[in-house]
Amino acid sequence: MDWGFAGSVTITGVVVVFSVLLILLAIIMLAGSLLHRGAGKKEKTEKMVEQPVQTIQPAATVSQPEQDGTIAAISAAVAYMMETYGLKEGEYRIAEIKARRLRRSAEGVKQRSAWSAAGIKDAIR
Amino acid sequence: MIETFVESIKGLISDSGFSAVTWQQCLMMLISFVLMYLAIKKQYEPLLLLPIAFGMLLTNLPLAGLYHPEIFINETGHIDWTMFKEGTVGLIDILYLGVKLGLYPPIIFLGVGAMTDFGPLIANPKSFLLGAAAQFGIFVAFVGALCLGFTPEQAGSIGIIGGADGPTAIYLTSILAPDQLGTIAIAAYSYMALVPIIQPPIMKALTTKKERQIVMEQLRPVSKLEKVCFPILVTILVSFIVPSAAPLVGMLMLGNLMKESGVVDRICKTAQNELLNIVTIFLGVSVGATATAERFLNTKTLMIIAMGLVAFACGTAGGVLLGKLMCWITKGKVNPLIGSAGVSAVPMAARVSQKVGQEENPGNFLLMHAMGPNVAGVIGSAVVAGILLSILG
Repeated sequence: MDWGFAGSVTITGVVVVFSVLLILLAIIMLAGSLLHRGAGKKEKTEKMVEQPVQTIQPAATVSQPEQDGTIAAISAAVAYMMETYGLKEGEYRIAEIKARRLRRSAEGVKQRSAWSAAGIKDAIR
Repeated sequence: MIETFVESIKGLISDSGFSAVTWQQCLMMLISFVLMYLAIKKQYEPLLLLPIAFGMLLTNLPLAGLYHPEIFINETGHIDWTMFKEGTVGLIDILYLGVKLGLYPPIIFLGVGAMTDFGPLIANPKSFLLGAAAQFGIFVAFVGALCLGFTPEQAGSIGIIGGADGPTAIYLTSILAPDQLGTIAIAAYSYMALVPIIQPPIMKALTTKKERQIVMEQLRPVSKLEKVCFPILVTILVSFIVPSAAPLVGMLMLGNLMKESGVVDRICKTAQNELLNIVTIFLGVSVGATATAERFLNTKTLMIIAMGLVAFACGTAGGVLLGKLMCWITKGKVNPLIGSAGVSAVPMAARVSQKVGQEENPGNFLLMHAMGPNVAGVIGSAVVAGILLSILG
């Protein structure tokens, strides 16, 4: 039994496998932080633009009590969006959910739904 | 006419298996029945163990001539193509070419990569360390096997059982110690199936109740860009440092890239279904066929099985101990139980971590946290196989 050989293979193996995986760890952490730094700047800009929309143009609302499933789905979507954009709990809340018929404004321009307005805002930002 | 008839019957009897069977072959057939029972009734890794068991049965059928070990295991160490030229090879000789030429394990890794989600690992890259620590068992078993009188090549093949990765074990053993392939493959897959029995006592012995109750923070979301870049980065880095690991890691990451890109759905589905299943059948039967009576029925088999258990246990212990260290360094943010998932028995080892953690705290969900070290262990065991090939090959 050659203890020197056994020891050298063991030490080499342990050192190399730890080194390889440590390097991978460092690269993945670096890549993750770079990607999230970029995503963080984008989120800040979106937050600043989002605020006026939420105060001036309320979301589509549903008043019928039997549409609990729809309300739950909308609430879950808002909660997910808040988590994704790093908004704190209590910073925004759903005031009401009500369906609205689209109507023409005083200037004669057909008023867009909140969804289409948000989509246009997103496309031309 | 009667004489001709009697002569014909005598000839049939003398040419039949009944006249040529040995007690060793009968014993091997009984062992294959036990393995089939474990695969079918107990469901111990049936996808591999059943073909392996049946391959063992086929190769020990007297005079069937399905497998000729002398073609692949000889003094030259190369394939003897004479019988192929003469056309006297058996069915399993042809199937075994995929093992000998190192084809099947990388293709299986292609399918494994297409089914694996590296998201938990990317979200918590510290899991790489736990995956590395769990490979410690490989080297403990390597030293132990050398002490028992095995050659360094055989010791390396025995040690890799501790990586808990069947294709990696078969890939390495087919190159370093093809004469022990049947035994090592059976040991590797049997221990992988026994993970829920082997690991929990070790995990409980090495951790305190308080440590087992630790609830970890939710993992961050991982973007598609990260998931697409990950396999490319891993392939380049690992192949540069350990080129021998390139076939296994490269195919694993190719499968994963196909999955994460989302643009090659058709071939991704083929890789994880039809291709994987076909190669699994061929690999299982041909590996099982190497377990002939001469190779299997000796004391070395028992020593291999014992050392395989040591490798597994030490790998589990290594992962849990590093988990404890990480728990201490992070002041209780890491549950040490996830360290045991560093053995690459995906996803069984992660499920065991979840189960043991939930026994202490029913509201604790460790599964996704344990998946990080679990998939890191797959990469780790492939790297170790590459290292052993470089040094011992």
